[in-house]
Amino acid sequence: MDSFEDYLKKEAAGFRMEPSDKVWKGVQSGLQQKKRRKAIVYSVAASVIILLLAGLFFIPGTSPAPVSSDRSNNNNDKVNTPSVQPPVANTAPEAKTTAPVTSSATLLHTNKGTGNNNPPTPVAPLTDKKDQFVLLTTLDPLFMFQVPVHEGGFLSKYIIFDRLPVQPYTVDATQAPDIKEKTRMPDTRFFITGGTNITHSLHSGIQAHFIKPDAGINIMAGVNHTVFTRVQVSAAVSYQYTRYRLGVASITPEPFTISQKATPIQASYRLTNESFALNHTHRVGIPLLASYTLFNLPASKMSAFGGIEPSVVFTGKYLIGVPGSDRVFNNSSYVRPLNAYYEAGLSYSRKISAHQAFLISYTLQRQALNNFIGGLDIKEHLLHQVLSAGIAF
Amino acid sequence: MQNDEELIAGSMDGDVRAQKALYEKYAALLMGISYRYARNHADAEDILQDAFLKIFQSLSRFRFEGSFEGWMRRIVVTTALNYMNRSKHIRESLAIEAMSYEVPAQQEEASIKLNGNDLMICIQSLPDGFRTVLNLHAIEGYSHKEISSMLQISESTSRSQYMRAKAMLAMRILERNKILVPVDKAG
Repeated sequence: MDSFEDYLKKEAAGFRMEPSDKVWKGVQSGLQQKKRRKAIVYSVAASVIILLLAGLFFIPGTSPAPVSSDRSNNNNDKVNTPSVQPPVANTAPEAKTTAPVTSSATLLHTNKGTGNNNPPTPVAPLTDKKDQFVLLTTLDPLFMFQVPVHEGGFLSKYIIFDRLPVQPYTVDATQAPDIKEKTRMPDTRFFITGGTNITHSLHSGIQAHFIKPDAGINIMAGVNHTVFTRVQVSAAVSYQYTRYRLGVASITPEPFTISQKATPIQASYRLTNESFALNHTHRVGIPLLASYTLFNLPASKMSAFGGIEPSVVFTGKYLIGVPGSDRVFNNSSYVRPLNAYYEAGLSYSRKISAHQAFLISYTLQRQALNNFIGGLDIKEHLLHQVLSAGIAF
Repeated sequence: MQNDEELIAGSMDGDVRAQKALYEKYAALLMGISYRYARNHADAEDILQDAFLKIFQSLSRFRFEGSFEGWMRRIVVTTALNYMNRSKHIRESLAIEAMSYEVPAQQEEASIKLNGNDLMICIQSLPDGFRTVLNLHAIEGYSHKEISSMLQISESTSRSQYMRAKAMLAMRILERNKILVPVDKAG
């Protein structure tokens, strides 16, 4: 490097020149334009996703599988359990199917419980044989059974179809008045089950935030991807039933924080709708969460959070009774006005731009013990593990 | 006065005041760079505007691993090169300059030195190709190999154009000095 180059370098390094005002105006308008363009792109993308998912989840499938009209009046004096179907381990004999199983199909297992207080009524059973699987070809429970609703209590042994991401372990005790008469399982059973399930659901929500001097509303939408792994241990004496856990669909709109800043005042709601086969649950909650920022870099932030969410939960179950009895079908709903979910988790967000962020969060959520009346007393420990991701803007 | 980190964080959050503060802090420096590459003042401002847009939109990619100023300088230089390439200024002018300019073999380059403003006027008066190669090599410190790939020219072209550019600049400095001396004496 010669002295002339040194001279050039030195002079260039110290050289300053004030640009005119129009440069800053141009920069500002360019930033605004870009922001608007991105918002439009994300809005369109979110709308398309919402429409696609809504179509996927809500448009009824093909017509339900034919239900046998052949009735069987044999009184089962024992209760059989269905064959092993992943992820439930079972030692019961193989059951029959009335139609080929497809990936989107829902399997139902009918189980029997005779009841002295259950006079037969002329309703079509779901199947003509006990312990039979009935293949249904629609995902929507409302389209599944076109059978009369019987107004009996929970007097029949029934099968509960659970959504897999819920209840990694469950202890259920059925205490219907005549349950012992209906219980025909001869022995004590012990199950260890496990599995991994992946569900996809739609995320959307709205959230208001206020941070002096800024206030605003965050609107987000995205796809919720849930991976669920569980190990289940359950034991039963005499009346253990077997569940099938086939994840079908879950729609979980809920807001999440997208701001890089702390949000000292935050109002949000959570509305969760879960439908699986014979169960449907609607929950409205107000998450009261505290969060701690693990790191907050200019582009990314990670927080740990935890808290409680008072909720009102509406649960409905379509119950399948025993072929040959009148307890063939029952639809019942419960309202659990005082419910609490404890939750904790981690969230990581990364800025895409000043107004968009990618967020991924992992939440561990447990439901408090609850009891509800109506002839049934069920103790539930619900544990949700939700891995969600979405783009917020 | 907020430090760079706060200004960057604020700018990323869309805080216009932080963006303005960041702009005001570095606009003069970056304008000086874009001015060296541009043909004229208007082009320099266009380059600066494009560069600041890129800077604000890419802040999330700045890792705080090196100098923020250096990072911005690179953006300005790249933007300037793209701007010139857009109208094929550089390559065309390099081809033309190679044929048409008679450059003295050696000027008394070290004997006369102008102040920064006058020197920049001299640099800006150079043909596009010469100016670009001179800026990249002598001031930014890029090697001829790097320049050849940036401008898509051969390494030997870069080298020869640089020598010519340097000689021409020395000549312009001398000329400029002749113009300035009477003024200085008069003053």
